[in-house]
Amino acid sequence: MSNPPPVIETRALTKRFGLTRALDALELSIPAGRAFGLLGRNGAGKSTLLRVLLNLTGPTRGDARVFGTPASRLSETDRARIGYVAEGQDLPGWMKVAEYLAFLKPLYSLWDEKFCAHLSRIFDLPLESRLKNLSRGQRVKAAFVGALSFRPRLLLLDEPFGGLDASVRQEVLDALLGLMTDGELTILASSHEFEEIERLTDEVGVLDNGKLILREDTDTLLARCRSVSLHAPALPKAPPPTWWDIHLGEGRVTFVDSAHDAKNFPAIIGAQFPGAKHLQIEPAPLKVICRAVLRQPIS
Amino acid sequence: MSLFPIEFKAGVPVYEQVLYAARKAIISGDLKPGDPFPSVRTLSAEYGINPNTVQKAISVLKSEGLVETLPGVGNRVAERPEFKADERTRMLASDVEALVIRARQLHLAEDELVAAIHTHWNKL
Repeated sequence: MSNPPPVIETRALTKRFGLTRALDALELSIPAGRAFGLLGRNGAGKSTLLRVLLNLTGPTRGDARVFGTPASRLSETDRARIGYVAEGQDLPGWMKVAEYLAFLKPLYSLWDEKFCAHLSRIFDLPLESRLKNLSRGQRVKAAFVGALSFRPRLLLLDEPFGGLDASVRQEVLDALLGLMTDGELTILASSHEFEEIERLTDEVGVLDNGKLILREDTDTLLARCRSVSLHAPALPKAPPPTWWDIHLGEGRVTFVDSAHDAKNFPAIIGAQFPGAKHLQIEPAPLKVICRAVLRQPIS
Repeated sequence: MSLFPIEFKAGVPVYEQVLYAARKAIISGDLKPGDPFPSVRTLSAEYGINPNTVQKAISVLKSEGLVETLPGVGNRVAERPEFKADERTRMLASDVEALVIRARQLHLAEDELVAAIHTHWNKL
């Protein structure tokens, strides 16, 4: 039996806006059932990638496939299995929440009315209020109910947690995890909410200038990285290339050790920094790793 | 359902944190042989973590013989396998080494480390 095609696959995907390359020969493949976190600065190409996958804009060159088919040629059936939520998404403000959900229902053959009612209840949505009168958090929750009620096979999320308070974020996350446990849901989420990404994803990728400069299983990445600081008068002439974003300020050297080897580390530090003091080795949160890899010159 | 506490720390693989907390609950006796072990769904929902990650941790606990799956019943804490003393010591070797490295980094004397171990041994 052959393996099913990846749910998302891009080959040499390039998207230009004038002279700007939003996506630059991007190669990305995400198998079914995985949650992938897309990290990177604003303008790195994250939203563009999601928009190409949704066929809201076409590639300049290369190929973007969803469920094995080019995004531009997806059938209605396949399209109706993709959920999309974006920060500040346009919703028809004049509609009441109940009207909005009733409007979506016929567009999705797999719409699950019971599940929709369940989500509306746990999200505490005011069904009789107009969308334009909802708070920001309520609007995002309404968008999520719209995107989850047909039990999508693929969820594309563009900064879904941006500006949400912790309790709303938790409710949304719970709903996503429930769907992931139920079956083969694949998620591609761009986010700056690193703690959520650490807990939610199987894999993360860092996009920079339209290219993936890092891609790895979230747990493996966290396992190999440590945040290191120590007191030393100067930086070494040739620090190991696996030390990311090394710099010195007020006598304190900090870097992310991206290939941490606890056993040999004291000897390595001793060789690089004779007379170093106050060595501290801490777990490196995803936020720190992401910042370090973005500051690192690309080899 | 008997859950076990996990205090999540950013930057530590979630999978390792689940494993650590589960092992601790079983070794300390908070979860006893025969107790139901929480399902992937329960752990994922309760702690807000990826179900694939939970699944991976449970697989390791099973391969270690700490958790078993009974068909139609679910997961439960297994009867503890008997290891020979030298086997047990070998299983711990890399953890002990890591601990000694960390202690030396912090300029702890040997007896201070032993005292700290002693305190934790009695706490569990």
